[in-house]
Amino acid sequence: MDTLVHLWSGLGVAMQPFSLLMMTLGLILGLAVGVLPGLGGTAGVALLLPVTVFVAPEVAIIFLGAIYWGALFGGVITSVLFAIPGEPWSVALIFDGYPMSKQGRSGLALAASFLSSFVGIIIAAFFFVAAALPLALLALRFGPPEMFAIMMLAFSTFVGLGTGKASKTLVSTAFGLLLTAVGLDIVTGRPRLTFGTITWMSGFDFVPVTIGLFGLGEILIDGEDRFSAEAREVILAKVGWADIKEGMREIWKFFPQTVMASIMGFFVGVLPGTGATPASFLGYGLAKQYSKNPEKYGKGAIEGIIAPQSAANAAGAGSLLPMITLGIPGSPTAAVLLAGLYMWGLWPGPRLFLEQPAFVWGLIASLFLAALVCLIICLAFTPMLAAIMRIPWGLLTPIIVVACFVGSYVMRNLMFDVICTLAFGLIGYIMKKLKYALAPMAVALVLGDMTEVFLRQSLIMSDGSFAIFFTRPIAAVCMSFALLLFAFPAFKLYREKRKARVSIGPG
Amino acid sequence: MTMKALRSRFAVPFLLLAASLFVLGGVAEAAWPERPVEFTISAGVGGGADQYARFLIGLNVKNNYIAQPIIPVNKPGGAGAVAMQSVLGQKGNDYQMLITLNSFITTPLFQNLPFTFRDFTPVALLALDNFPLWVHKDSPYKTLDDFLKKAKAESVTVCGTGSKQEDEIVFRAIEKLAGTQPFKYIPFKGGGDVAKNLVGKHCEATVNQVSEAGPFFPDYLRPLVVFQEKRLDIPGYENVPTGKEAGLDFNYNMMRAIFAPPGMSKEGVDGMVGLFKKISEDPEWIAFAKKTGLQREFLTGEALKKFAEDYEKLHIKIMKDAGWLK
Repeated sequence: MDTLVHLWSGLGVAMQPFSLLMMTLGLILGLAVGVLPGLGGTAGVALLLPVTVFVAPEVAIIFLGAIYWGALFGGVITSVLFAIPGEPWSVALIFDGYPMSKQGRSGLALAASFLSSFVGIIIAAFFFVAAALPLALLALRFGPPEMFAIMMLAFSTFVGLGTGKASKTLVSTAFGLLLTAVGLDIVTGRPRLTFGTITWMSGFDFVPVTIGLFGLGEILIDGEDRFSAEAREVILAKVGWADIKEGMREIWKFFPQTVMASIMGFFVGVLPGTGATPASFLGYGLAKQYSKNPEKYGKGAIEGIIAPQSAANAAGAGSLLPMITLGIPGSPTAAVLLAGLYMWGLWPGPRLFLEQPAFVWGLIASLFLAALVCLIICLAFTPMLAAIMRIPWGLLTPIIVVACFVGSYVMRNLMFDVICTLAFGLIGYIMKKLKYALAPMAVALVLGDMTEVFLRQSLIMSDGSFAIFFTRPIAAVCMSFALLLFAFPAFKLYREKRKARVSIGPG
Repeated sequence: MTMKALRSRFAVPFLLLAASLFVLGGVAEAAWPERPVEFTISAGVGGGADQYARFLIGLNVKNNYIAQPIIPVNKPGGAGAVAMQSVLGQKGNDYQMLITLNSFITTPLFQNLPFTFRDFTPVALLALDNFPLWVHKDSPYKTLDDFLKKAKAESVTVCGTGSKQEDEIVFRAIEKLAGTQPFKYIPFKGGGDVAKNLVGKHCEATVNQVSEAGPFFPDYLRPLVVFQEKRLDIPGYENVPTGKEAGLDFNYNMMRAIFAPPGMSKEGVDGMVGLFKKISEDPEWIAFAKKTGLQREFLTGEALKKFAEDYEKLHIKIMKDAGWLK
C-alpha cells in the first residue's frame, strides 16, 4: 500500500507541466543521440549533465532518464535500416532487422522494435515498483563466480548461432575473443598484444569494430551486388500505417516470449556492471533456443527483433535500480547519473529512498510516462523512417559512410578507432564472401572481455580451483544450465546421426 | 560558404560587440580563454576520474568562472597512458588539460613509457583523496589489529580497482610494513564494483575512497583506519584512527590534480591556474570535499612539481618493495 502511495506522489512530480516538458525534450534528444552511431545514450546523458544544475534534482533526473530511454528506443533505427549499430545494445537487432529491411519490411521491423522497447520498459518499471530494494540486495550476492556463470549461459545460447559450418563459427568466435585480449590486462596490469605501442593499449572497442564489420561491410557487399551483371530488382520499402498494426499483432502473438525476455533482461540489467548489451544478446540467444523454427532466425524473423529489444530496454531500466537503491551503478549510463546526484547535492546510497522520496518516485513514475510518450513519438515517425529506404542508393550511401566514421571517432575520440572501422569494414566484407558468420564474432567481442575478467577473478578467489563455480548455489545453478545448453546441440546431432544411420543402415 | 567568407562577414559585428563589451566591462579581461577548453579524462564516461571532471565542469557552468565552455574528452585505456600520450602530443596548446590520479606517476614507471610527469605543465593540485580500510559490518574485525592478526596467519582476500595501481599499492605496502601473508588481491574495473563486492561479502577488505564506499557506512560497511596524517573530517568518521594511531605508520593519498601539455604560453597557464583557484574556493566544491573527506589543497607551479617528485620517490620505493620495478 505504501508503495502505491509513493508511486502516486511520484506521478504528481512527473506529471507537472515542467517535468513533462523536460521529459519530452529529453526523449527527443535521446532519440537523436540514439540514431547517431557511436554517440550513445551514455554520452548523451554525460553531455547534458552540466545543464541540469539549473533545474530541481527531481526534474533533472527525469530529463536525463528520458535521454537514456530515448536512446534505448532510437538505437535500433540505424541497426534495422543500414546494419549500423546506433548503440552497442542494438547490434543483435541487425541479425534479423536488417534482413527484414532488405525484404522491404523495414516499417514492420521498426514498429515491432519500438513496441517491444515499450513492453520491456513497462515490465521493468513494474519490478521497480514492486521490489526495488530486495532485488538490489539479491544482485549483491552475484560475485565474480556467479557473473561468470551468467556469461557462460549467454555463450551457451549462441552455440547454434552461426548458420554455416561449425568450424567457421568457431573461427569467427575465436577471432572475436582474440580481439578482446588486446590492451592492458586488468589482472596483471601488463599490456597484451600491443606490439609495444601506447595506442594499442586502449584495446579494440566494440563499437568501431561492429560499425565496420556490419555497416561498412554491408555497404561493400551491397555495392558489389548492385553493379554486378544481373542487376536485380530492388525491393522498395513498404511505407504506411499498416506496419504498426501488424507489429502490434506480432507482439501479441509472441507476448509470452516478449514478457520472458523482458524479465530476463531486467535481471541481467540489475546485476552491476553488465548493462543492456549482454541482455540483448542473451534475449536473442534464448529466443532462438526455444523457438519452434530456429532456422528462420538470421533471415528476417520478427521474433529475432522482439526478444533482444525488449530484453535490452528492460535491462537499461533495470541498470538504474542498484544505482537508485544502493548507489551502485549497473551500467556506464547509471554511473554518469550517479555523478549527477553528487552535482545536485544528493547523496546516493541505501538512504536515498527514505530521504528523497520525491526524487526516487518521480523517476520511477516518469518511467511509465516516458515509455508511453516515446512509443507515440516513434510510431508517428515510423513511416517516415521507413521511407528513408526509398532514397536512391547513390545518395544515401555516402551519408552512411560518413556517419560510420564520425560514429566510430566520437566514442573515445581516438583516430585509432576510425582506422579500426575501415579495416574491419574490409575484414567484414572478406568474411562474408568466405561465408564466415559475423554474429558469433560480435558476441565474442562484447562478452569476451567481461567473461575473461570474471573467470580470472573467480580463480584468484579459489586459488585456481574450478570447483568454485559449483560450490556456490547461484553459480552452480546457472553453470549447470549453461553446460546443458552447450551439450544440447551435440546431443541433437548425435541423435540425428543415429536416426540417419538406422534408416539407411544395412537392413 | 567558405570559412574565410564566414569570418569576414561576421568580423565587423563581432569586433563591435567585443569593443562594446570591453567598454561596458570597464576592465580588460585576460585574453585566455578565447575558445573552448578541452578537459581530457583518462577514464571512460562514468569512471571515477570522469565523475570528478564532470563535477568540476558543472561548477563552471553554474558560475561561469571562464566565459568559454569546458569540454570533457574521454580517452580511456592503458591505465591513463592513452590520455597522457594524447595530451603530451599537443605541445603548446593552451586549450588542453588533463585530470590526473596517482596513475599519472605510476603508469609511466610501471609501463616503462617514454615520458614522465616532468614532461607536462603542472597546473593545480586540488585535493588529496583518502584510503580508509573497509570491512563488512558483520566481519569479526573491529580494529586494524584484528585484521592484521588474521592477515599474518593466513592470506586474506581483498579487492580493489585495477592492477598495480593505487589500491593494490596500498595492500602491498601493508603487506611489507606489517609483515602479513600476501593478500589475495582481486582487481576490478571500477570503485563501484569494488564497493559492491565488499557489501556482497565476496572479499574481506577494500581501500575504497569515502566517495565510493561512504554510502554504505554504517548500514553495510565499517572503516577500520584511514591511511593519512589527519583523521577524516566528516561527521560520523571522527573515531576512525589514522594509520599511525592504529600502529601502522603509513600515509597514502590519491592526488586529484590537473596537468597540461608542455610548452604552453604564460597566459594560458595563468588562466588555467586562475580557473582552478576559483573552483577550489567554490562553496559547492568545499561542501563536496567535506562530505567525501577530501583534504583540500592548492598547489601550483614549482610546489606542485616538487609534490609530484616526492610522490614519485614514494611510489618507486613501494613498487620496488613489491617487486614490480627493478
